Amino acid sequence: MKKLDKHQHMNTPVVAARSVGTRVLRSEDPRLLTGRGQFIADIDLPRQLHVAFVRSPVAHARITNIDLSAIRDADGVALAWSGKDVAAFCEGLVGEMAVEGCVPTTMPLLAGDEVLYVGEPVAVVVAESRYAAEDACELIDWDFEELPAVINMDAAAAGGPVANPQLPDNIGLNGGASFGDVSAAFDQAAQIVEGRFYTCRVSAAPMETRGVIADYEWASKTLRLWSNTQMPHYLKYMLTAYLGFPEQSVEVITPDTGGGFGMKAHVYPEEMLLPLLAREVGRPVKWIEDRRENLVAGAHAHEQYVDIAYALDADGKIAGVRTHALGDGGAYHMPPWSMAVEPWCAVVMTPTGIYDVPAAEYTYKAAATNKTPVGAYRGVGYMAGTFARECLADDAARALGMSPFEFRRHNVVREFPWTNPQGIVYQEGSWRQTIDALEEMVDYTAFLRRQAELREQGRYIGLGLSCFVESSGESSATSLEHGLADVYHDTATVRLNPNGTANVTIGLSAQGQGLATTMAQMAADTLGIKVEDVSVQTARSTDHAYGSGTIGSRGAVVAGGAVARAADVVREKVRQVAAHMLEASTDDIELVDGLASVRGVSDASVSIADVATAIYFDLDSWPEDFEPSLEATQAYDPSQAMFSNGGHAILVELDAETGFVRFEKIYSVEDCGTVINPNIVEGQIRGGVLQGIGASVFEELAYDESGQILTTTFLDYGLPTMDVAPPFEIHHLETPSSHSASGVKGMGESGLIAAPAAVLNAVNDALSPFGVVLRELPLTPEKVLDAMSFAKTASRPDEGQ
Amino acid sequence: MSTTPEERLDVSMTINGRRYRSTVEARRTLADFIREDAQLPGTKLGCEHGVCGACTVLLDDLPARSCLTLAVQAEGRQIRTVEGLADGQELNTLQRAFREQHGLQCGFCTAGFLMTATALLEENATPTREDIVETVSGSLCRCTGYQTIVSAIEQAAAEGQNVTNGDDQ
Amino acid sequence: MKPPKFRYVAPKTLDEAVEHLASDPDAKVLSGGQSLMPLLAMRLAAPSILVDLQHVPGLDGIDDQGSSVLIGAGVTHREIERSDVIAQRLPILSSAVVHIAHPQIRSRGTFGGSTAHADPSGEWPTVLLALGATMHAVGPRGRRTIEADNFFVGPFTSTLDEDEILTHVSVPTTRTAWSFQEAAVKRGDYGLALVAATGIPRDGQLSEARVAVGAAVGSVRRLTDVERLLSQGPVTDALAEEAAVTAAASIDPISDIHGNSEYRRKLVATLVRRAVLELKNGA
Repeated sequence: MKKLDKHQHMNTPVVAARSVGTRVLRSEDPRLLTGRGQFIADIDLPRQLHVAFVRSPVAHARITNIDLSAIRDADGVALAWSGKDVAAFCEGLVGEMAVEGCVPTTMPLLAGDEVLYVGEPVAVVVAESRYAAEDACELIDWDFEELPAVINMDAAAAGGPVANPQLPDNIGLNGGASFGDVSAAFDQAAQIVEGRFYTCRVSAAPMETRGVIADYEWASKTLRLWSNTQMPHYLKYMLTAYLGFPEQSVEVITPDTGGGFGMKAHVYPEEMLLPLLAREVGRPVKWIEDRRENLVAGAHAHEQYVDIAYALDADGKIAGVRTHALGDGGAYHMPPWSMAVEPWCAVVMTPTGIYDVPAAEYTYKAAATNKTPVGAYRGVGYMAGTFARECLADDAARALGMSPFEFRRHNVVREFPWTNPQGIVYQEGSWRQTIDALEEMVDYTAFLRRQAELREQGRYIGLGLSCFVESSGESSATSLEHGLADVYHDTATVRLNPNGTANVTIGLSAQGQGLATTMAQMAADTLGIKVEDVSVQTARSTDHAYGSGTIGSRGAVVAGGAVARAADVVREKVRQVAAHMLEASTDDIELVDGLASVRGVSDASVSIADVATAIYFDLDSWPEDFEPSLEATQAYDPSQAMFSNGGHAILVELDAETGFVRFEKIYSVEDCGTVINPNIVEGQIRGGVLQGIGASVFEELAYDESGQILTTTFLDYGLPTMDVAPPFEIHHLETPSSHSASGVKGMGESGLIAAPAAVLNAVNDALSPFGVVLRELPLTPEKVLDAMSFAKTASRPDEGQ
Repeated sequence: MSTTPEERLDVSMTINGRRYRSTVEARRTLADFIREDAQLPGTKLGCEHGVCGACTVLLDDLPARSCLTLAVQAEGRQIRTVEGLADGQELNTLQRAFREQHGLQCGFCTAGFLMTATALLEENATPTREDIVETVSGSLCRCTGYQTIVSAIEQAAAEGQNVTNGDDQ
Repeated sequence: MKPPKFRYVAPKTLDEAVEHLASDPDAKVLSGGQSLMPLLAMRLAAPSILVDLQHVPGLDGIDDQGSSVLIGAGVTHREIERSDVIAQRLPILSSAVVHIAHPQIRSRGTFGGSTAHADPSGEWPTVLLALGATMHAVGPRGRRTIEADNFFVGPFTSTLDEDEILTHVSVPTTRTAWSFQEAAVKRGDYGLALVAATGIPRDGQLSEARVAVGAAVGSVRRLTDVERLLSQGPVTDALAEEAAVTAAASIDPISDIHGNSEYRRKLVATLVRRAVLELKNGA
């Protein structure tokens, strides 16, 4: 495997932790708690017009006639376009991923001759208000011939009716690889355990929907585009590449954003259309997605089957693993991640997990269907892969008569660095310690006793375990390690002001992760100043620092590295001047707790504020040949892939009369290296796990046989609510990375990655007296009650209870 | 108000103690009136069909979905929104508790939680955890996992609604 | 998701309201709006005129009249939730009301609005059917009363005429044995199944039992087979089990993404069993 060359921007400074590791309250909060946040819907430009879309009501049809004249004549309408009108400017967005067997598609901005899924934009209307735009949309006059709707991925993969003419055999992706002697492992296996696991189609459903505002000034060819995207710089690049707006005059602005979770890490047709509309009407245009649009046209997620098999040797060790993922990709590759985002990631990233498996083989396939394209959602591929692997681990434990803890401990990697069969190197980890910590937290012996007692009373509780390894800090190295060649690097700018306070700008937009706070902590410790003296701008504008996107659990690691590196350049300036002022050697100057001090000399110090003031205003303080800029921009990209790890144990009770799953308690262990801010790490765990609970039990985007989506409101697509959210007990392990700033590793995705496996394992544990093992999400009350009705041993709970 | 059915009507209401008047379409939602006509965008729209709770305001002191109310239905009424909660230029007890308990991440749903919790604490100064869950379950949050929101409301109750504290850390 | 255009009027008298409602076949009553507004936002309803009843006098009040309580159509769910009269005289309503959506909805949504909406998943239609309530309506042809048995006739369909307004509901207080059961996945969700059961306890036995089911079926209905069973003797565990089996056999449950008909059948059986056992305790 090609290894990354080492570059300057991969080194980070070593600094004393002061605010890093503490529960610093978030600087974002006062604004957000008082209604002073500025989200995209809150932004109004003078003269703005409003945009609404006509979306396909059918899954698959040939458009035979489309007439927008009634729309164009309607009150308050400035412009209406169909696919023909927009094709002149842009044929569509190419979606593909540079992996073996990926066949690209081009997604039109508005449907051309065919509509391929319910919700696909067919026409766009620009009007005086959103009310007027929606009124006009109702006047659409079009005819279409319905075509067969392809909705089942197994059938699609087998051929038959075509979902998207660009993929005549319905295959958007097909490939695989083998490492080590997998055949021997399976031929010689004492026992093979295998299963087919299904993760259902879900929506990230951030509380804030998507939104775009475009303002184009033709005289200067200046385009300003507001989008709550997770990838502003990439979006800017696409606006230039696809639409020809001059790169130097395009600015993408990301306001406060109400959650993204991957759904906002794509480039959507709407984001490409708005600038064209603004240019055409000569006024700013604004589109705020409504919830129905969000559920039908925002990227869908997860839907796939993962077939997985372990070859177990006579000793109960996993000698080999075979994985096959088949994803339902929807109608198009969703740029930039493509249909590969689920099945490819699932099999390439996850098959070995924490287990010392010497041989692995995988295949992946994505089928096109007449459904909304599938894209990224927190822990892409990792969730489905971890789900299959960890649930199969429980199957194996049952087959071997071991406890879930024992089986995992029996197979866990114990020595680092460890190289998995694919050649992926894991530098460090607390994989075994996670299992031990969880077993202790749940008090497994006491749990088993309680479980037995309750069963006597006709009550069914279950404990489910799931351990994860998560690649974090998405980087060029991570990409290479997984066989890709994506290049990542991000910059940060740090400026020290005359009074010793600092301003920091990072290239990553924030969606609620508290990056403005954690980055202030990183900068403060590097500069030796107080965290409240640092103000951080996340990527509000592409006019400032550069960023490769807030994705892949990379924010803290990558922005943190860039901030530390930029702050370190400024720090060196301060040290030089302090040394001059204190008549000491620069090498002996430390910056800690607001002071520049001479190491080992107790009374030789000057405040960092005084040094900063001196650099701005006092030439005498300067050493010879000094360059006085206290502003630095530096890039960062980790030199090696890094992996966080941990696990969850989830305790559930099943209601034998209704099939409802009640969540009693979540036990979480997280090792993301050095914790910058425990509040924020714990917040990510709780939120991610609850999304995992949602994806396991409460949420599913459902389609009927005609390809009609049935879950277009929050009444039908049920997010977890407060009353079903369990309490948490969280335990931190800290195994710092050897090559990130301060030893930080990313962890934003682990909750959703690992929780569903723990949920299914818990439900199956509770179901064990019934002799039924479930493998498909979501675990609806209907499925659970069916399972509980299955066995003869079932007895109805005592009526008197 | 007119005694004949009208498509546009004059409407006037008090929001956070200030009078707002406008001529609006009958179909205009109270949420849009608050956000756009009154220029108080702290009230958010997360679903526009009454499920997510982000648009919750206090209508004559009771929590109500402003997306499920027409502006004209609020004629002459008293509205309170998140913009009116702070004590001068300091967070009030409830807001501060949300900050200290990390009861928000992206902050999009937060106004709805704060307004519902405000109404709860005004009616019941010592709610149990169960009271809180019962009352506040009508708001969705996709970031926090909810537990810290419950804790924040508990903290605010324990500290008393009327006590304000300017301590920033 | 913005409502379509309509005209709006907020009359000051009931007569005026009736007049507006009768003036146009597509005119609709607006009470709390908690069911209507989502339909408007999704453009699933397109009324020509909304007649807002909030300023119409006489639609409020919870009036204890001895053998019945007269509840104004404009009374909010929240008022019912906090009413001492209801808690003492019609505790089944207090028990059911907390299942209606969330506090932010209950503060605006009205008793009459939900009743007239005749949502098969609605708590009030199920409860009022089980209580044998009487609806009071007024229209251009004058006032009339409609028994609950003749009121809920289909999904979202009542026998209220298009130009009639529900003004009050008279709810008998004599049915002192009662149970309300709802199975919902999350708090405030529409129920997957609802069962309301009432009866008059007499000498340790139950007479005149009424059992209604909602949510699991296309429209709220009584389970007359179960009612007959309950009047045949003392309520026992065995009878509760028989009632459950009878209930399951006598309904044709709906099937949708939230639960198929077989699942809902099981739920109804469970809820009927629970309801009958609770009735037993009441009796």
